[in-house]
Amino acid sequence: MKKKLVALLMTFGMTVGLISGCGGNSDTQSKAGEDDVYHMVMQITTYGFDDADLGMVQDAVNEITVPEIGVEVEFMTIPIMEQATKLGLLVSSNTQIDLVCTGLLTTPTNLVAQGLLTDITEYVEASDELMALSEGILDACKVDGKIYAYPGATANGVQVTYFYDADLAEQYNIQLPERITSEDDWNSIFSQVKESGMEQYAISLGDGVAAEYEWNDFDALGDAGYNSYGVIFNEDDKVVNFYGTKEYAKKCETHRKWYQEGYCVPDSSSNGYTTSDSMANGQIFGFVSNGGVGMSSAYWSKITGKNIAGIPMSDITTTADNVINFSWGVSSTCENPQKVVDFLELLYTNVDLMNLMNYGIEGTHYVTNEGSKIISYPDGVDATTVGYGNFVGTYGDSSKIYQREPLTDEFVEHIPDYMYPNAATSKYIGFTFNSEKVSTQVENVLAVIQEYAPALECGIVEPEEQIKAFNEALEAAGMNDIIAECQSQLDAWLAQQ
Amino acid sequence: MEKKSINQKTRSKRRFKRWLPVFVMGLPGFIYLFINNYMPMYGLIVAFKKFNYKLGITESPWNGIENFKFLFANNDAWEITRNTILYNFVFIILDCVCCIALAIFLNEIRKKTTKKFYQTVILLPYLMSMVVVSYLTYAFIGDRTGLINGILEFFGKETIQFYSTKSYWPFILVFVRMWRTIGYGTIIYLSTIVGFGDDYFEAAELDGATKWQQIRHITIPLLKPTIIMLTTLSVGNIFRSDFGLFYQVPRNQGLLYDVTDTIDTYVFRALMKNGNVGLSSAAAFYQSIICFITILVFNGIIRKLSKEDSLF
Amino acid sequence: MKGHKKFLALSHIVLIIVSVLAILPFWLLIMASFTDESTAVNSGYRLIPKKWSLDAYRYLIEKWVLFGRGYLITFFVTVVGVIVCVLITLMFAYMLSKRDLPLRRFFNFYVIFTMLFNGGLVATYIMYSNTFHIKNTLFALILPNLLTNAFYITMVRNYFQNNIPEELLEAARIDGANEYRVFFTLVMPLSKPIIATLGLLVGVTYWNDWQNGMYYLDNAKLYGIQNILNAINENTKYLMQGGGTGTVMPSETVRMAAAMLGIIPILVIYPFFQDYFVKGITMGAVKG
Repeated sequence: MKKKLVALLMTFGMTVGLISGCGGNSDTQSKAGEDDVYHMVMQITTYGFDDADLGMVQDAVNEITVPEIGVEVEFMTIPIMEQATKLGLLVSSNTQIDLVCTGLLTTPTNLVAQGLLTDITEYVEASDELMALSEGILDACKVDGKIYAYPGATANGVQVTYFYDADLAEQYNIQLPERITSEDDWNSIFSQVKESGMEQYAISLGDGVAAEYEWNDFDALGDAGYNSYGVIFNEDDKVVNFYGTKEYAKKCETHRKWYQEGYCVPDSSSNGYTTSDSMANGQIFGFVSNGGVGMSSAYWSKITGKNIAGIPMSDITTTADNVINFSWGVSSTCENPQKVVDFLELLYTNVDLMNLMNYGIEGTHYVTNEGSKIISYPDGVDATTVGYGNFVGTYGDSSKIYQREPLTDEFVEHIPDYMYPNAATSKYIGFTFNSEKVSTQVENVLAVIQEYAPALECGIVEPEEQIKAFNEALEAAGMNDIIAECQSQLDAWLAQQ
Repeated sequence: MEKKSINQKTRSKRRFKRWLPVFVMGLPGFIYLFINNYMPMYGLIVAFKKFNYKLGITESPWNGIENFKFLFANNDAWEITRNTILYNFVFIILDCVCCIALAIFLNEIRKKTTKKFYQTVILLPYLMSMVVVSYLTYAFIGDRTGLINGILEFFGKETIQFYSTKSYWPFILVFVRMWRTIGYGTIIYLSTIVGFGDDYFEAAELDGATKWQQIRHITIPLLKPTIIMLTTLSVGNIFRSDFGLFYQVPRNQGLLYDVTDTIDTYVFRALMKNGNVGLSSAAAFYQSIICFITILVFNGIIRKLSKEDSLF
Repeated sequence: MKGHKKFLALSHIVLIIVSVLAILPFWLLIMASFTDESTAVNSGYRLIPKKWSLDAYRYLIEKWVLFGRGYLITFFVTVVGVIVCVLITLMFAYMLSKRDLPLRRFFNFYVIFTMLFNGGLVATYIMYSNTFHIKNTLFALILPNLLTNAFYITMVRNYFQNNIPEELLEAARIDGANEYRVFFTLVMPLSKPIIATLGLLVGVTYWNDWQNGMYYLDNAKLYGIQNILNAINENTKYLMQGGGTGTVMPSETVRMAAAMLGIIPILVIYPFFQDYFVKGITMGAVKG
């Protein structure tokens, strides 16, 4: 759960779309009569409550979609905690659901294995707009070479960043580098923080998961967070057991040192607070997370209530995991996939629809500012009282839609940096490991990883012996079988490319 | 010959007439159990299938014992089984002893308001969800912020890292479990004791029996059927574990798995990762079979010892 | 007599210890819900908060309309559920309690077997939604998995067998009462303690149930209070992370406050149950 949560974090807010081809494109559907209006049910993932004005927005959406493409949209809200399980129940009870979220707590691969998605290859390939929008990243949504999902975002790039409390840095005069590249950089920051006399810890390693962000020079081949399939360092095509590498050992030793020096929150693995919780509560000076379009310093400032600034630790990159996080799919019980894909196309090309779905109705839920792409709340409305906006993710093309305060126009200009092809895309983005043959081993390896990794990565235990025991347990659980299988599949895939 | 068969007929007719009202009363419960519990039982076959929601239960392809492999082909199989059984064993014994003792004590209190107070209070923990219990446990034993470590610090003693020390957890888990459910068990025993009425005890008192003698010779024998019932039912669940207790309370700390991991938590973690319904069905099937055998054996023993008290 | 006094004293001592153990965490829960979130994170919960805050309740009160409806639904479901459950459980258990009942062993086994094997969530869900169509109705909150179970039935059966002598019932039958009359006018009044106990246990289960709501309701309008509280509980961690509408929210203290809101109504109603319970006691139940 927590690992998935991190995946969620990783791409939160990264947005959708590219080119705006704009509606009325498909000659077969555009002049749909009243009779062939297709009633489509669309999943809206929420944080637990339905927005008061959801129905109002739904009506406004239909005012656009019914004349344009003959689709009548009905929203079905699903709280995020049920997101991975609800679809199965809906399909097995024949409840209508058409457009579903295939990321967040699950993946297209999992959903396909459970028979929950429709192959939409022919419909997506028939749409020039959709193909152009997803250039370079669509492969991540394929399962066995077929398109089962569509990337929910185009600005998928992320940059590992050390976010810190700028006010504290100024108050205690902490000297910070432009970019963190070495252990010395860390030591310099951390020792300053410790000696400055502030009561905050320099960093929280969370539950041992966030710690992985310090590393971005490998590709986890679709199992980010657990690395159970083996990983590839430096794009050298060689799958290795992540936990047996000297890089991993070094990382654990570093964290152990931080733990012993008192740089990191000592009980972070059990206190139940994520790193951003700790930040919000004034427990730490900084934390490591992915930065991106939806996760800028401004965003973190809003979340934590502090004045946050960031120091980059890596280039902007895109992996498959980032792409599928908000991806859309069509459920296996959908009666008219063509119409659903038509709606997707409109959602990615019609700016009015995008803004409507993202921010609600202008004047009621937001107001625009002259000459700016930044919107604000209308008078008398704030984040807690606004009638629309309680959903996970964003809709539409982030380079086209408005952005909300406290983002700035300057930041908006940089959004293309996070999009293909500006953001470096992993060489292996189209490769998905089919773990079916070694599924028992994968289950067992996962169990072992969850037992050993968090304590090691939080620095609670002495790494030397523990890593040895860890790897012995991994081997006994069948890690080598997985690596061998993964390598042979990867070789076959590379040969095809 | 002729006469006898007529006799038989009338007797069975009379028998039917006599039992009919009883069966009529039993019917709603019978039907409910049939619908709620028996009709979905075909779902057990999911354990042997590669489950696919679109195809449904009957149409999904078979995959033999593939789902079960995951349970047995790992090094932790023994550990999680051991933990599950041992904890349950301890719970069964403690449930019996603590709840009966408390019920007897509670029955001793004659003052209505006092009794009411105690009864309400001991049920309080049962009303809290495990998530909240886990937070409260953390409030007491948290490594840095816990009350206990706060007190230790105050007295200049070294603090205890509960969440990374295995040896404390069997005790912590047993304590939390007992703390939470003791009120529930006590109330069940109490209702039985109350049902006896005071006659036995008054008579014994007149005979000059001490309290301890009364408990030993009257209360416990009278409670025997309830004890056997509750124990048999617990034995029937000896292969299952309270997920919340073993997952939420230790906060899913990998370091503690040796002593906190049970079959249910193990399966849950696998399920969270891949959503494979087949795996959890296989685990549930396996638990059911073992429980079935255990309860048959246990009930058989009880039948041998005292036929009256066996469950079936 | 002296022994009796000593024993009474011992009873009080033990019960006071147990009560303190039960109240202490509950007290902590109350205090936690009034603690400032940031204080809670940095120094943990204390028996008296270092820094008081009403933020958690303020957040919950904003959702008041939701709660009002939730309480009503849950209250209705609990009352109906308890009445129906007690009735069918008692009647079924009454049947099983007859020692010379034809097929008695089969019926007992029929009950116990349900405790051991179940078809799993998916099969149960498909049956209830496709065969009985209870999705998105109040039935969904009452019927599945709650109406009665092997444990309740066995518990009540046991009570009947041990506390209600067959001779008493036989006497009534000789007086001309039929079986229904015997059950409703003789057995039921004699069963007050077990009815109160069963009602309490079932009531608490209904009150605390949120799983049925989660599975069978696609529409939050029918959510009971526990579904709403659980949604807060489970989703706050995402809310905190994902930003949602993007305000800092007291996630952990909200959980504590939500737990309080779930428990308080039970605490209010419980003493009335108790009264009934105590009445059962003072009646002296059965003269055996």
